[in-house]
Amino acid sequence: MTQVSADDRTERETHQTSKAVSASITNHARPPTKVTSAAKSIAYVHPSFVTITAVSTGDSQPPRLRCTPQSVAAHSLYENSDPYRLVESSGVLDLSAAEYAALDDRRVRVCGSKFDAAQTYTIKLEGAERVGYQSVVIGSIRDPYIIRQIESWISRLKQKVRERAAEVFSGDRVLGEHLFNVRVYGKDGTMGPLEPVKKITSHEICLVMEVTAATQEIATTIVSLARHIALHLPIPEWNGFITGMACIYSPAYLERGPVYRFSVNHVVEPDDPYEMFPIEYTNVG
Amino acid sequence: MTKLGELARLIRSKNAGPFELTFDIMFDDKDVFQRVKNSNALSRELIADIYRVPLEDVRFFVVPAALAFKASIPRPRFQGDLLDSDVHGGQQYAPLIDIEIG
Repeated sequence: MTQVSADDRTERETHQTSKAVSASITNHARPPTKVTSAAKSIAYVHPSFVTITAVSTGDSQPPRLRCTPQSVAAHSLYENSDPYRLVESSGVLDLSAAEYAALDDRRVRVCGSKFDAAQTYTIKLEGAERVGYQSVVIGSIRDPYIIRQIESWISRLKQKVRERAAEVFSGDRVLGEHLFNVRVYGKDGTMGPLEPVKKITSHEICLVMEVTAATQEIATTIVSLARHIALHLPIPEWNGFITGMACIYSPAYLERGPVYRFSVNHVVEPDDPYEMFPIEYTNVG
Repeated sequence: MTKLGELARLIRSKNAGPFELTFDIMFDDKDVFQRVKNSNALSRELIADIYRVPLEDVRFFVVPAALAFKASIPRPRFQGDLLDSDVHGGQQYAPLIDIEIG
């Protein structure tokens, strides 16, 4: 087990996670401590192991919560990409040699985890930026002739929207700059590029057309002309003016307001762990 | 042959931070977990194949203490990015349900 300095421990306590197992490790090498976590377990922490106990509202109120080696071990899976190495501000919690043993049906003892203290204390910094304003149109298609050629239909739609937007904004690059995206539910709307099923087997599909642009007005203008083009986009199977998409709302567009995306993913090395988190103490009374 | 979805207690996908997706395949029963493990059906290669990502981008773990298998891959689009289609990453596990276990 890696020993950590008293200073490191103090720092780590400011970064306790809600997970019972990691919360317990933040306190290891200290006298037995009781930790209550969001997972509704209580961890009794000893220098070389931790005991996790299920908490319930009282023995008289069934069902009592159980706590098993499996349920405790499964905590390391949730929203972590690596179940054996949990990266925290002051080091890595290494669970590769952790052992989980049931003391009874409500208590589990965990031994063998270790904490590898980082050389440098770091703080994760995440940020988002506004990319523009978005307007969307939701529609659906029932015509099997359109559904079977939906990919080429969308390519033609995108081409025409690009041309029409350039006309409307007279080729003004700033005003006309936009992102036009079409989601096809019934095809790959949920998984996008990860979708392994290529064949559409549904008798209808849902389209969500999105335009992101510099202002709400531009986004709405472009998505409205996209709706109009989509509505009457010809296909070779039909001669004459078709209406190839069903819209649920009139007016068809929905204004989503400003939209944001991830833009900062940095690791900061502060001179002092508290540098970015100043605390001001005031005496009251 | 049995489908993985009929054997597992839970198959789920989640974000692991904004840039990664992680898949958990969890069992109730040690024998069933062992059967799936012994079948060698689940592997890094299979995950790479199903999600069409390069093998070196796939992390694959067997977690016996949790009676679970876990795999993590990069998100094709960052969480919440303009083209992202699943902000919580919660519906990306579906193709795993049909994996055949001998």
